[in-house]
Amino acid sequence: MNKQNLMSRRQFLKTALATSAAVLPVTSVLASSASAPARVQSEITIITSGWPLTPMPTAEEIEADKARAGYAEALQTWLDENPGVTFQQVEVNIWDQQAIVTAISGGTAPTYVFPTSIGGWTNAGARNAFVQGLMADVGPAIEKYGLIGKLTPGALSGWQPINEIGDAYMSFPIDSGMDVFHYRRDLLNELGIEEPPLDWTWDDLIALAKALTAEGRQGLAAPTWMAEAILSDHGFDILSQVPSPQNGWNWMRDTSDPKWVELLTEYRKLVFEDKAVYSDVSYTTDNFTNAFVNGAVGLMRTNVLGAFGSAAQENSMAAMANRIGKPYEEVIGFRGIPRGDNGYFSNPIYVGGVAIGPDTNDETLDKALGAVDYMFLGAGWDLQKAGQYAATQDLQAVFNYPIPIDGKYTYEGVPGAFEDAWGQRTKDDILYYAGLPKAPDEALYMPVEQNPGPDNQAFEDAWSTINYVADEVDPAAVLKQAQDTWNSQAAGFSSSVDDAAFIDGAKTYYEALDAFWKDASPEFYESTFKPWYDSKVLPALG
Amino acid sequence: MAERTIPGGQTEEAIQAAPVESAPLRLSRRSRIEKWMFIIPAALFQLVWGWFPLVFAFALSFTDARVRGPISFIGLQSYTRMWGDPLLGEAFRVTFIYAAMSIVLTFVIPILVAVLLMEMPPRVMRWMMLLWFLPLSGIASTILWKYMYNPEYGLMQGIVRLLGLPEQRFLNDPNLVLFWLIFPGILLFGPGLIYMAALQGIPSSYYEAAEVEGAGFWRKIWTISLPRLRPVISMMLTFAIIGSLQEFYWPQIMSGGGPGSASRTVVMYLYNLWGNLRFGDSTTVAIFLFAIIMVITVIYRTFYKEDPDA
Repeated sequence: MNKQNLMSRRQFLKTALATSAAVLPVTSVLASSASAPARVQSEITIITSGWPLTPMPTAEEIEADKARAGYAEALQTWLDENPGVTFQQVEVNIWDQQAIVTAISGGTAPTYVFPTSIGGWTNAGARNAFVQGLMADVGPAIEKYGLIGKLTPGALSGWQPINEIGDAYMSFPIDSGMDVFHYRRDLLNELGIEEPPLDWTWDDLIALAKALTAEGRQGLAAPTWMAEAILSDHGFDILSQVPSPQNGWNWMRDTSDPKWVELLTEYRKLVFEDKAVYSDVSYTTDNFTNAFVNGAVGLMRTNVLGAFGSAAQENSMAAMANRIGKPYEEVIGFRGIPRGDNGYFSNPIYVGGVAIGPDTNDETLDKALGAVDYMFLGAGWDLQKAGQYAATQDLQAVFNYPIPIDGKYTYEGVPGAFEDAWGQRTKDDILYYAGLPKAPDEALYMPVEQNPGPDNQAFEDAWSTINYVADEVDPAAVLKQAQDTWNSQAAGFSSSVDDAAFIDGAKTYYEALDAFWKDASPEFYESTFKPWYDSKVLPALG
Repeated sequence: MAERTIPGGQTEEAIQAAPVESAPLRLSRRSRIEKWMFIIPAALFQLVWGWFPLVFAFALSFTDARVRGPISFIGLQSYTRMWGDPLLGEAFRVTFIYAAMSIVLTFVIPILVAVLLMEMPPRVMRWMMLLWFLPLSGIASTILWKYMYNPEYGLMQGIVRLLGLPEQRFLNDPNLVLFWLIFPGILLFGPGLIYMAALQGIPSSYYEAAEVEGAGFWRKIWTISLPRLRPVISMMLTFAIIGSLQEFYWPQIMSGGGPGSASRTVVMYLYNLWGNLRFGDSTTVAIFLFAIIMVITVIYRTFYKEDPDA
């Protein structure tokens, strides 16, 4: 090696210093010249992960999905009316609680966030996260855009109580959805199986899953939480949680009812003996959706919003119907959440809202929600729908929202209505389930908890064991272990709610539940709720 | 080759051969400034990205830290709470088993394979190295392996069926899930290449001398190859211990910590706590893990003799 060609340490430092001195003024000039016009052109940047609004679609994106032309036209109209605002896309998974909480705490969250995912997919958790400062107050925008007057009475009653916290609001409503089970109606017809009734039960579901299972196809797609779902649909969420104001944490879990073990045993039989369940510890939501639209599964639980993608989208149910060569209504059927054999039922309808990240300033918050209001509930909605229709001439590409929160089933400039796209039966069934009575939500009665408490990990482990472990699993032992672990964890926490306020809130909540079930399902009330209420809740609340 | 002469009339060889005088080294002011200019960027980087987060996390673990609003000092509450958390104990149990299996399977085996490969003809050895050194994205590998482990249609089940063995549940089996998570690491063989590079640096005269003395194959490995690898083994083992105790992304992506809690490591549990807004508890777990890794590393470094000639 020729040492003379190497730079000495001193030479290196001199060169570095000289280069820095030369480059700094240049970069300063470049930076100032780059930022100067930026200040004029883009004073407000709305950061989005792609939901509920995306930045302006590119020509290539519109070419790939023509329905995007309507969105582009509407967004451009809003941008023209709001100069200085730009949208910027970032890669953050706002549906993953860990990911979004990490982004918020690190100051890198997008402007738009989803409150329920931040709160661990419960309303109480979302309210707790709001109180802890993980979302901004959107109250001023609710008032400015006259939102209350735009919602149907049903949507307003579903959204406002959950989202109004003291003088503040947690989210800005945009849509409504609910979980349902989609099934292959064409397969039922082929196999000569009768369609389940609207008020079907878990027994019906299990029978259907078995009947749909054949070579190369499994009856039911089951993520980890399906083991929990069979219990929840029999009232587990209410009946396994007991108030415990004498402890530091005001709740404890009680899973001693033998009914739960009986249900889990039945579910495991479906998984491991009947082999009617499509399930694996490594599967994600995409695996289940793809399996359903590719015919590897006959029955799948998913949000009803996901069922109305246009046939232009390859993994949509409409595209599957096209591939089969039959109208959508003949291929896809759905039923709501099945009832329990004890008379329990639930109406999982929700009004979804967009929340705003806590680091957003007032001006950006106002513009961000102004855009949402325009694009979902204002003139922009009709504009994008008319544009979608003009570009595709496809009603299925236009009518994607089965339960509009403003009650609009027709759009200006679009001939036809939702039922013309998806069938009258589809619309009627959705409205049937949306109209079911809804049990009181604990979050509306209990004071908002400001301290973190035990999470649901112990129970999630139990559902995972029930769902995936084939050999020598005793559901009773698994459930007992989850209960004991949770209670042991709870002993280490203290609530921010004082005992008197907790007892007052709990009494009101359980009285509302008592009145609801007495009226909505006398069978469940007499056989299950009342005995449990008298023996577990009333003694605990004194 | 012509002998090079440098100013002063001495040859390079003469200078190199001359004994170095042990005079006290006194740097000029200019040299001292230069020294600090080299040190300060690295020191600042280490302080900001290394020590500050560590100290900050330690402080955070004594508070009821939240994203917004006042933070209160809560003493050892998070420590007592997490100490009694059954799920944390379980996560540590999983992590230790994972680390032990990982070190045995992906650390020890490559040493043996590398030593054996060195005995192969150079052409074969080069091909084997090339095959093992194929650059594979970690995330892409996990996705690929997820499909290979599928108990219905995965390639691994196909091999099992072909061999006439009982069907496997792979990632769904709580007793074997950790093995299946580590298994791809054996095939990827990353550390083996480093051992092979180190083995190639051992002078062949050592082996020739040993053969003259009548040493056989195993004796040469035991008395020459393995001792000469000690410094590399030492460094690699330190990385392996720290890395395996901090394992996160393979189990997170492939099994989500399941089935049950069978593959949930401490770092995964810590991440879950963070997502559940339990910031103080999460940093407390990080402190526990830091302390354990530190103790294990110190013990190992104390007793492991790195110098083969010592």
